[in-house]
Amino acid sequence: NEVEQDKKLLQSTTLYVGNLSFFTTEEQIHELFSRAGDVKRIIMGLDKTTKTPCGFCFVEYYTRNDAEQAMRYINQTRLDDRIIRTDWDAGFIDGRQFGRG
Amino acid sequence: KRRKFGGGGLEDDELTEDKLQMALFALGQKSDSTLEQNLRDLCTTLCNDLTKHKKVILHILNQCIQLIPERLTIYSTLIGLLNASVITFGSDFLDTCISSLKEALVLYKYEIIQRYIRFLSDLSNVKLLSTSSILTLYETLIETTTETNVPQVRTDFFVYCVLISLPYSGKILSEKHNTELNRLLYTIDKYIYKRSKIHVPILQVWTSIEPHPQEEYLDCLWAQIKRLNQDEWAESQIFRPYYTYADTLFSDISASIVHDLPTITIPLHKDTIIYPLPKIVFRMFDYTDVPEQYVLPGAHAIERYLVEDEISNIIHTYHNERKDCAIQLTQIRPKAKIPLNYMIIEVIFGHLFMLPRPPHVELFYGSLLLELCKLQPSTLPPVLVQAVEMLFERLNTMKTSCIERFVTWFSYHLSNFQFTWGWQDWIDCLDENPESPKIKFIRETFQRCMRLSFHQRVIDFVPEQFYKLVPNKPSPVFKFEETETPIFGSEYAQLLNKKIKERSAAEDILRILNTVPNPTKDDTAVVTPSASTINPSTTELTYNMVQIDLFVSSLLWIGSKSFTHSFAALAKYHQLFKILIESEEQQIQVLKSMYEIWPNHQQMMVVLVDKLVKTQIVECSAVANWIFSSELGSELTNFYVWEILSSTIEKMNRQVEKHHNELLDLRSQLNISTTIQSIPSSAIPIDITPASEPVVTSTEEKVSDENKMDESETPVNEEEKPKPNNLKRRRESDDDEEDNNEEQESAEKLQTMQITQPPMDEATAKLHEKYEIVEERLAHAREQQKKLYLIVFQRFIMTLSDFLNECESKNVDPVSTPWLKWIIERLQEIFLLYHEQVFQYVSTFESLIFTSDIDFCILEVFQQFCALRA
Repeated sequence: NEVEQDKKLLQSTTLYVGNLSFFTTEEQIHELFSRAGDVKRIIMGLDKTTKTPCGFCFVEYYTRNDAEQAMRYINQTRLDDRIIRTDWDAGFIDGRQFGRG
Repeated sequence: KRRKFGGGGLEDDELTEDKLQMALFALGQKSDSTLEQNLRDLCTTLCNDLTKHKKVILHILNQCIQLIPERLTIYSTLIGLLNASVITFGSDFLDTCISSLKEALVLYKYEIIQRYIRFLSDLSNVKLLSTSSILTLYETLIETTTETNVPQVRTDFFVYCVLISLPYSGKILSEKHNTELNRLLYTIDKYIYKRSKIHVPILQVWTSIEPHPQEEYLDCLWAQIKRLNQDEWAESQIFRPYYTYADTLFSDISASIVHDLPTITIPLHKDTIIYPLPKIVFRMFDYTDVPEQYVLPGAHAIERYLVEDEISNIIHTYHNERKDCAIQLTQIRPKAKIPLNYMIIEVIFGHLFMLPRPPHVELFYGSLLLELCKLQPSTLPPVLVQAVEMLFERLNTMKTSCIERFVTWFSYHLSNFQFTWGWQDWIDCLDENPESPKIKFIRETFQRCMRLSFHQRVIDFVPEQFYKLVPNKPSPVFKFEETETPIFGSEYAQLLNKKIKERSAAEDILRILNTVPNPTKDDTAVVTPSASTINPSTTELTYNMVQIDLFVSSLLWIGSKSFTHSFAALAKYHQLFKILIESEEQQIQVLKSMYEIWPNHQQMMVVLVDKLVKTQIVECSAVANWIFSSELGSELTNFYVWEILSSTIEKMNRQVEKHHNELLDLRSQLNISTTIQSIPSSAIPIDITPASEPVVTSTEEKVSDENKMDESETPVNEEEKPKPNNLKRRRESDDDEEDNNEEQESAEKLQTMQITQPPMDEATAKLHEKYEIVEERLAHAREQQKKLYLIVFQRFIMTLSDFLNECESKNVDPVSTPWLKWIIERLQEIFLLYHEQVFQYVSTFESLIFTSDIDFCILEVFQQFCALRA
């Protein structure tokens, strides 16, 4: 339900990161996002059939504050020459790393 | 909700708190010509509703004073107008302000105190406050200079409050109380003159005073105020809208009542109070650096300070919204001919390089500069390029911490502009010593650029002459495969690789490791892990090292595809690590094996060490000892090594902080439970459980699905808490008691509490039990923390002393070597970055390691550090 979802987003420490190049690696994402705070994990979005990166990922921080800093300062800046987009995510659930094939 | 109030006007009939807040917060935000009318309208609206909404209006205005210092004169104008219109307003508002100021004084909220003092000063300009009472306030603040046995930082703060206010009040005070003002200035002058300046070098961005002196902040501001006084307090930078309303505010028929301030007392000094650290003034431009049509105010012109201060305030107010921040900065109305962009860039770099730490996260300044470039694409980038060139030219004397921040920012900035840069301009420095600051800067910048992109990308944007500075391709090196003649253990490594790839159980891996022949013995003894861990003899330990090396090398090699693969591999065999590795020497072996695989991938090492510490395979102290080990000797001037050390120290600090917060939390819960003891007991568990429960579950829950990303690997519950027996075993080492006072105190409190509150219910008893556990954990963590700093400082001294001795025997001047700069400034950095923690243990460090027999260049760093709080 929507209220529940909103509540989750307000407490979330996970960001959805979109508009990545298919060639952007976890290492590069880590380098950029760790500048906002201690990164807990990065989950690369993978193509369902080929299991290769397909332009998005999830970045989870340990604290809300660090995640907020990433939202404030990384959204709409460049990585691998592409303007990337960050958004709050309610939290990664296994299976969501697969984009549509 | 968000209608209509862009310019600060209130048009709706019905006032609500939200509308008021929006209108008042937005007042003067846009620099347009409507401000004058807005102020009048707002004044009328507020006057009409003052009786109905008095409390809310006073509250919001008071908030504006606390939160928006860059528009303080606009608010003082509004408040002056209200005072002139409503007879009771002035005293009501003053009451609100004064109670906030008193609260801030008691709680030592320094920023808020400063803002009130300055704001109250400006209220004398709108005839709300009497000039004599402002003078009395200043005298009270300056009184602190006569206190004895108080730290200089305390007095500095109160003197600073007066100095930052004088540009606002100086003119009116000199007109009405010239003698008293001069007496005040004389007292300040005497104080400024006798201050100690030992702390200055450690805070300076450059070690040289060429081309600009890095002045101490009070010295500089005092010079500016003296100059302003000579100029009869004439300045043109402060925006003073109140003069527009002369007919209302200053005419003889004005209804304004001039108020007196009540007596304000300064709380006495206590040793537990931590005052703001001193600062230095960062300057990188002078008038010769800016285009001819501009005039940059000189270093001691008050305009320089006022514009810098306004820029700083805006950055501080808007740091959460980088786009708004950039817009607000470009809307500053500087006096004609002041080169605003130069000053903005100077202030931003000043904040970025501020020691010990920048006021906000470094990334913010980078993103703000990007916004400014976007907003003014033709005027700002050239200034930024000029700034980079100047900073580059001054690298030789720039502090290592600042060079590192420069590298980190510059690589980020380049990555947002396709790595376009005029590298050719720096070609001349290529012949310098490879360890020289300029070469190091370029090398480290390439490293960071590679981390943000990839190896080939760096090759592509770098001119050929710079190739020798491009980092190696970050590929793994597997020594068991590389050599042509197989080295000892190769066949086992191959077998291990195969088994790990097949995701064999930890027992199978251990079985293979146990078949490795012991190179130091003739027979192939099977070592049981328990025997080697409980009481390892030298041979067994050496043998165990071979096992660890084979295991770690193979594991990291198989996981070398990505961070995720490596983490998953570590997680899968976490238990095996716990069996094989116990002693610090063994932990260091893990790090050595890791280094052998990844010498070319600095970022991988950074994240792997981070993971190894977080999963408690390796302790912080082992990392510190490894960093200063001979194996890493040649790497010590490279920045990533310090990235690893800082991140390790920070994890240790966070651990202490976590336990500390848990304890505070429990303490307040216990107080609650004792105070509500009289309430029917059934209420207590309900009160307690919801608050305490999340603390326990959240930390455990979070852990569970880490590393699930690679679906082929089984996740292991990592970051597990230290087992109780672990805790006991590691507790034995350090028995220095002095820092445990606080815990003892709380334990005593607890005991008395237990005695005075006899019938404890079950929930309270559980809380007490938990309290004791957390208390023990905190004490343990504190010991570990202290031990870590001891190791770090000791290893610094050893490494530096060895180097100095070597220089002496070779008849080399150590100061002429880049090496000494890189290392001694890292020592400074550790002191500065972690000053809060280090100060807790400072007397131990002073008596144990920073003794008079060590070289003065090392001891000097310690003394400068101590002076920060003197």
